[in-house]
Amino acid sequence: MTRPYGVKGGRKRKHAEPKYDEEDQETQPKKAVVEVEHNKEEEQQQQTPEGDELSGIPITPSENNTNKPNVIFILEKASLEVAKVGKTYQLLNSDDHANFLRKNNKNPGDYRPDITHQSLLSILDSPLNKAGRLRSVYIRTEKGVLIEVKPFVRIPRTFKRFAGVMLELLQKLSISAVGKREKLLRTIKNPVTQYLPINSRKIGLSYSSEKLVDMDDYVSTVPSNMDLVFVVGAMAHGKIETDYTEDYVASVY
Amino acid sequence: MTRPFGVKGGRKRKHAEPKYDAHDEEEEEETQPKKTVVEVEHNQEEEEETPAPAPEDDGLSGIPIAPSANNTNKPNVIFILEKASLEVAKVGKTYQLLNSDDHANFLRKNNKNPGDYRPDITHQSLLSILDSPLNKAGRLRSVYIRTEKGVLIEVKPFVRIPRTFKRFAGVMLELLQKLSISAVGKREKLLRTIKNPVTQYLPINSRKIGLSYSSEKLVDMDDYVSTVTSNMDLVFVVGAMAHGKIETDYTEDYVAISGYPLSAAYCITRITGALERKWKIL
Repeated sequence: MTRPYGVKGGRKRKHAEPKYDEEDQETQPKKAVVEVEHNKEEEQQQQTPEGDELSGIPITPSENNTNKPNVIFILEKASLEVAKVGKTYQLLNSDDHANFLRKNNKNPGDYRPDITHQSLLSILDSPLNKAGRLRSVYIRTEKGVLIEVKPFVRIPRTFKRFAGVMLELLQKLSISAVGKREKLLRTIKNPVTQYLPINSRKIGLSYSSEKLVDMDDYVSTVPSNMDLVFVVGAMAHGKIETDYTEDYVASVY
Repeated sequence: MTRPFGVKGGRKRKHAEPKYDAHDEEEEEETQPKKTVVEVEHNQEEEEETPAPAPEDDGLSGIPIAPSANNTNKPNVIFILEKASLEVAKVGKTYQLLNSDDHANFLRKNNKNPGDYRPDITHQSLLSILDSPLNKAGRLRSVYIRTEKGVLIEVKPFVRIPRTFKRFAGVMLELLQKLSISAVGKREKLLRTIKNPVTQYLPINSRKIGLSYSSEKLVDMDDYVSTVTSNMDLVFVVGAMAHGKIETDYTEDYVAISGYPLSAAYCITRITGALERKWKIL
């Protein structure tokens, strides 16, 4: 079951500390460490607040109530696929592997892990997440692999590094924090419905839906204590069709 | 001066057509020799790869690409991305747009901090602006990018920049070397470098707002835009760098729109979202 949120808060504070010890960490040799260090290195590349301001704002609100409704995002049809290109295994994408993909009778335009990367950044960068209201992010790949992303993870901000982390995840099934046993990213068993709260509304987003809503109005119709699950397609073309969504809405062009 | 929006609408419709001729498009691309043409075709190719699920044919015919009722006297919005790191250097045998992933060693050798070279932030910010319903509804007047080195770039709202970073870097490299990027077979400049200062391109009756996490003025963006006079154009100045603050002499106001530090792209979605609600763009 979910742990009290205070524990996550504690973890976040620990993560914040390494900002001041970056050089020390560079000496650690383990590969997993290197991967996670990339995450931390990226953290500094975010527009971080100045030191003075950091002390004035808690990373998580201390009065957080674990009974408040949370939100979950599910990214469907993400193209996260590994293949051996030349001598090494790589995460396939349309820019770097167009020739390889065409040789294998595949359409390069369908291989867009950059969409997944941008979607994750959008979710994890949000004040909603920083305020602690994001419960989890699930990614389901085109091949059917299901991945859980913890809300406190800091994924690499540049695509090249993101591809490296996802490659390792798909090969080793999980990514851990430095020196900790907590899994930041891990592959989990299907179906995704077993991880969703019982009392939750599952909403699919689709441009082709006949139901065009104003998102502000739409969320205001949901009861205040209900968790929300949004299902978004992380592919370049096509539609998502899942058996667990209750409603499809279009809220943008 | 600005042209009536109808002309832009016409252009957009032309751009929309290639969706039905993807194969022809790809064949044409291979036969045309000019580099400029190739670059712009990449833009068109990227159009097919836009992440939003493509509308069905039936759906497309029912919705005009640009609202015909548009009134050119409606207020518009302009975005200025400041301190963008768009810098070209000769790495090995070729000129390249410097970034922290690919050129970390080169940058350190030249006593520069790789973490300061983040053109991917500019790319994400541009996608955030150009992908917004606000832009698709025709309310975005222009985007200006000012680089760390002081180069000023104008981006037309109807441009479709490449969606992957590698291609974006290629287009920006060409822009910085040749000073403009044109559409295929047209003389219209989609991207071009222009003379400083940026203030000469801004409307006279406009409010210039800088965004900064460190501002003492924390506002709800919805409330803030509602205080602006309905007929006033808005200019938002966002920093497109990894660290630091923007300080420009032409901004009238600095606001923080969240109690948490925001990435540039996320900050922009907050702004475009608020304007969409104010101007009733769904």
